[in-house]
Amino acid sequence: MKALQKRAPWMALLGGFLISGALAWSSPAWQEEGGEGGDSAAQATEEEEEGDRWYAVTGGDIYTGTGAILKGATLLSHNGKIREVGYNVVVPENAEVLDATGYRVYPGLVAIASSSLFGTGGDLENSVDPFSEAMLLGLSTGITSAVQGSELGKLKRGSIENVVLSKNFFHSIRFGSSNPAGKKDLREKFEGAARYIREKKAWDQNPSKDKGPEPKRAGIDMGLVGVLTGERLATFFENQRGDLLEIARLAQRFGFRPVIQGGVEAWTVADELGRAGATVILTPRDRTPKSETLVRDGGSSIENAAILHSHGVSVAIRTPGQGISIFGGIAGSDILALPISAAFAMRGGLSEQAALEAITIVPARLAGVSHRIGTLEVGKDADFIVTDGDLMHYATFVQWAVVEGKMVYDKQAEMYFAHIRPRPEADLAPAEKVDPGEGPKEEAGEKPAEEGETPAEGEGDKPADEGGEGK
Amino acid sequence: MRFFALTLALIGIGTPAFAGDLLALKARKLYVGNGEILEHAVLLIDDGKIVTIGEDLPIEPGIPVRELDDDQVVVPGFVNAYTRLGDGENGRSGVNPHVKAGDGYYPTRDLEGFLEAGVVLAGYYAPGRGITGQTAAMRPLWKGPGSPILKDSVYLKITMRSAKSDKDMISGIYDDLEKFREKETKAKEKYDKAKEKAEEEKDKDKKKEALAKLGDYSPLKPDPKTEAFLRLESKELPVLLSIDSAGTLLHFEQVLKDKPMQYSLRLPLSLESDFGHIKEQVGKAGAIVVMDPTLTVNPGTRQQRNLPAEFAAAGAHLVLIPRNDNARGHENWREEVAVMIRAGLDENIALRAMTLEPANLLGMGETHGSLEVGKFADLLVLSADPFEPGSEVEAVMIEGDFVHGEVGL
Amino acid sequence: MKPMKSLFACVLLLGALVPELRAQGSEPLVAPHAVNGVEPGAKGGVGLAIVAKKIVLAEFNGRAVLDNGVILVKDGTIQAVGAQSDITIPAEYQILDAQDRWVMPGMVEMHNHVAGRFGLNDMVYLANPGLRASADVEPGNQLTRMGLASGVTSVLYIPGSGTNVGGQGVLLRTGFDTYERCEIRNPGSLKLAQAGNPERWLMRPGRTLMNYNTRNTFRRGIAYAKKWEAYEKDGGIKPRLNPQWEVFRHLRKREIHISTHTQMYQVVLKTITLVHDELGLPFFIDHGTFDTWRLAAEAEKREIFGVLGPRNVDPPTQSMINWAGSAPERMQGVAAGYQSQGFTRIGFNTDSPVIAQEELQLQASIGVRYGLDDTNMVALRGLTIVPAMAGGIGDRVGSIEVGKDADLIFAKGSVVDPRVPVELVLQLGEVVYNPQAEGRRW
Repeated sequence: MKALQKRAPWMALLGGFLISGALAWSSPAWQEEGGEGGDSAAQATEEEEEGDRWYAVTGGDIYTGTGAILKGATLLSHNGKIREVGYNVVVPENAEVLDATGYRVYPGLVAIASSSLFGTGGDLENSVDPFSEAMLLGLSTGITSAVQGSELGKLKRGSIENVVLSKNFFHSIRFGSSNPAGKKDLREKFEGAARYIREKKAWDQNPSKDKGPEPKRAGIDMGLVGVLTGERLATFFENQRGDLLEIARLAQRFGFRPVIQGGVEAWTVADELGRAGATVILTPRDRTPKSETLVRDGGSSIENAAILHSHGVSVAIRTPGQGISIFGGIAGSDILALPISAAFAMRGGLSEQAALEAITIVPARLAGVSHRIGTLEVGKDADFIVTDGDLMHYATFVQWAVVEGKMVYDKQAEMYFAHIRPRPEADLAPAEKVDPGEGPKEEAGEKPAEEGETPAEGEGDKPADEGGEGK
Repeated sequence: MRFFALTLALIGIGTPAFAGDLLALKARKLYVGNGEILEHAVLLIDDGKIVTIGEDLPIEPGIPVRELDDDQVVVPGFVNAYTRLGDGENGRSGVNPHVKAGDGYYPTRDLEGFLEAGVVLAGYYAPGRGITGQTAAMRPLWKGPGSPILKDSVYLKITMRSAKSDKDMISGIYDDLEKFREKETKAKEKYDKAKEKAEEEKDKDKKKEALAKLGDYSPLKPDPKTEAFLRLESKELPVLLSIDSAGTLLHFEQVLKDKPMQYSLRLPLSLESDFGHIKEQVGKAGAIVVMDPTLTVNPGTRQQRNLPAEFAAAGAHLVLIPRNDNARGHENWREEVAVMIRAGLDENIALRAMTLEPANLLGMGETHGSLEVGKFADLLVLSADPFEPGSEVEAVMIEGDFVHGEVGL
Repeated sequence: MKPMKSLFACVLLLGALVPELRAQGSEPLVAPHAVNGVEPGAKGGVGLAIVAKKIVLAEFNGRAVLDNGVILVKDGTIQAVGAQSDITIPAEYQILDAQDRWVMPGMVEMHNHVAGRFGLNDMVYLANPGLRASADVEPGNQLTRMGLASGVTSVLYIPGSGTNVGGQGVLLRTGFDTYERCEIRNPGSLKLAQAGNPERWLMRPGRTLMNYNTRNTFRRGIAYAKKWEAYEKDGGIKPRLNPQWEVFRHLRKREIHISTHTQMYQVVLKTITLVHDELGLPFFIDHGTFDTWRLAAEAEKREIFGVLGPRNVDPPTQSMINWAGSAPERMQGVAAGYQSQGFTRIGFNTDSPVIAQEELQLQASIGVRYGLDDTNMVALRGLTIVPAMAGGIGDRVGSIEVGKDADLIFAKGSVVDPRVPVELVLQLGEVVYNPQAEGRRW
């Protein structure tokens, strides 16, 4: 559709060729063809279309991410936003419909720790590569939003419009056991910031004319002011128990909710972190042996996520490697293993729901965009994935990914994975919309329903890991 | 034959007296360059231009005739609309729309090689990054004093990557124009005010004096950069936009929005070029794309693609240039294109991509690039069909003169 | 309509519970307790009867699973396996009720570099058949214990592939903390490396010298072994013992196998024709990645085993690895490639620490993810009986069969699934990992 909008300058050329055979630049013909009038007319059509874009996914089991699971339900989106999720949804005639019978629908995943899914190292707005294989691979694993540098963007394959969801949501704070003086400085900076906020507020609220000068910013860490006023989240890249405890105390004393990235030993201080309202972004497969000199608990634990979650700590999950390394021949630990990483958290006891949240709504919340992404709820962005099974199962593939009501990934249409357990023929193309209420169309309606059963059979053929072959 | 009736008439009317520049060329096979192939072709040239062309035409006695051998074929002279003619100058980066590539042109010995390879017309572009300058259309000739440059400003070359600085460079064009307009408006306002004041003067002499002093309003003279941008804006100066990846086109379009610019695309092909993603969009718009005759793979795979063929099939106007821009590269040009033909590129499109389409890119398609009535007689005599292995350039004619090789004597 | 108000939806919600096995809260496992200081099932102890709803037998060419079965363990060995209705549990046996857990054979790793201090990658000589990895073993070290916690009970600890013949590997148990208790077989293998690494050794012998060197070294070893064979058969003058060549006597008797770092079509073809066809020595393909899978039918014909990894996919492009790109248009699963050629001897490795030892199971998951058809538990067999047979200890470990070591793991489902933690590990009938007692390690 974008092509349509931009047709005008080239249309001029085309017209030139068609009409005068060989004239390139100065033919009067093209002015007729591609004049200003033509431009705006094309745009008007475009806008009309844009104003009424319906997309529905029907028949799938919808895992909304809120805990609710709606079997065989319909999700309807209008202009990229979810209009309805549920049953007996009336799908408009002109809606594009994806028949997901036999499949599952999940919210698009949010990669809170990732690099290079946008084909660029630069800022997303100006340098995103919407055609990069990295983006294709990210979508193939179910990621529809990802962090790049200090930005969270959407994997809008083929489009560069409104890619950035949120930026600079983290204020990263250096804090390490190797630097006790730094810790002292940090405390003092927090005190300074808190004092500044108090003084500024008092000054702002003082109606008197001779209230004196505005409190000075000199020497005040405005980043921390932002943290204390809730504009940004303080994030700490720390792993050791002692540091984590101090962060928890700092957070409680100054009243902010810390985000800890790493948090290898967080499970040993889960209680304190829970009280501090912390979020931990962790790698469930971290393996740091406990130091032999310690008497206390320490080192990594496969139960880290589960323990933290049970103590009220929000958990977001990241992968061991945050780029794409599958081209090196080893799959299973790069960003494409995000669901597998969540599966390892489940190995440690995290519930399936919490594991899903850890790669959807929790990271969305961290980036301040939980009102737009992270769950499938009315009013939010229609960013979802359709899988051929349990998202956390290692053999499950994302079959389709949809971002803002537009299909951006179809496993069978892309090269990399189409050969692996290909979808039955019937599913290759999204089914045409069929209104079951109308008599004459019923016949046509039966067919997709029949074929819709094939994927279920196909799923039975799926490598069984939980029994069934005891013959 | 479309030309048949017309040519008969022309031969009847057009030859009462034989001017000294008349020449007839007889060839068993002639590629017109627009997709048509003439058997037993007769081509009548007057004063360097084609006046008649057709099959089995009678030639009035008295007109000098060159009759080619049976295995020789005639094709339009090749046009490389994007070349440095063997000059490896690196150029500079930045915004230099006023720079004219022709100003930096030094003919080299290499030129002979270009001519021998069949190049009769070249677009000599300004090197560098950013807005590099204006391209000159020229003959690969140096006939003593005098300039080989036919036109010194056929298109403006711009290179772009997906980056803020490059997007700012594009929007900067229009910012510059806006500033210029503001300045001009102010100057006009100032003039009008002064004039108004002068008109209000009651003393007749003083009024006359003041008006005389003011004179007529003379519009603000743009600086050379702005001047180039004004020409760009009016589409008098088209743009050849060189981009590094498919996504860059989206960034370009995003920043261009509805602003006026007429542009073609240079899509440099490397092994894993991803331009395939924009072929529908570019093809639908019927844009000119300048590509290298090279097979690529789908990025991230080893799946072979013939992007030039794909773009042509999608509706783009394909221009092919040699993979190497030196004289040797031009010798290999046809072989490289032949490989693309074997990999699926239509032969007619391939020939057009070396003749008429590049002439169009130079804005000279009306007068160059194919062997049609009214155009210059720029042609090649080849020893065999253009993409046959071993097909040699045996003679090169520019504007009716053989400038390399001789035939039919 | 508001979806959540729908009664229908609520009913469906209840039906949407996670798979049964994980959803049902089964009772914690009660590990067997020692009697008179000796654990039941262990050597010298009373017998142990393991009762389980699902026993993964993982026989190579036989049954995959036994439902509602019993395993009798005595003196560290599996004494009997069968249906609960067929087996009478002796009265004095202690009973370990696995409830709804699966009982599986311990996993077997044929490419391990972490069971010792990795001191064996001698770069002075190109061929070192006399060097022994056993000299370097560190029983019960941290990394090995992590592997144990994931259910890996046997490993082949081998020299690196920096030279053509790196030395002798040693087959080890992971559950114990003395070398003597850990050793399964020493020498456990001879390490041969072809292509890639050894070509880069010191003076860069290149492919020609390397293959010459392999043949020459092996011929000398075979000649040495033959001398001993003749002596053992016919007597005569006792040959002089030479530690450099001793390993070839084991190889000739097929007690141990050559673990061969080999990958890429041409290289593996060379390994097969040289080592198997020409020299007649037992070997298995170790790594076997990139385009090697195209050769799998030849390997299958000769009953050669493949232990695949740590690379588990072959990407379609050569932009990162020159050898990659066996399937130009797709992400080719390595194991799936072998299977597509009719290959039935698919095993997995980690090359730990390249991939952590505890992630051996993940290599199988990834194999399935990228196209391996897991019908008949191919993936689980690739973690157990296939690598065991590849390494020549298929008679001791790798499946639950009478007479084999009682190396057993307990989990609520298949260990191929990363979500399924191992809840108990027995080795030679003894409890060697019990998270309830010592805390979860993996």
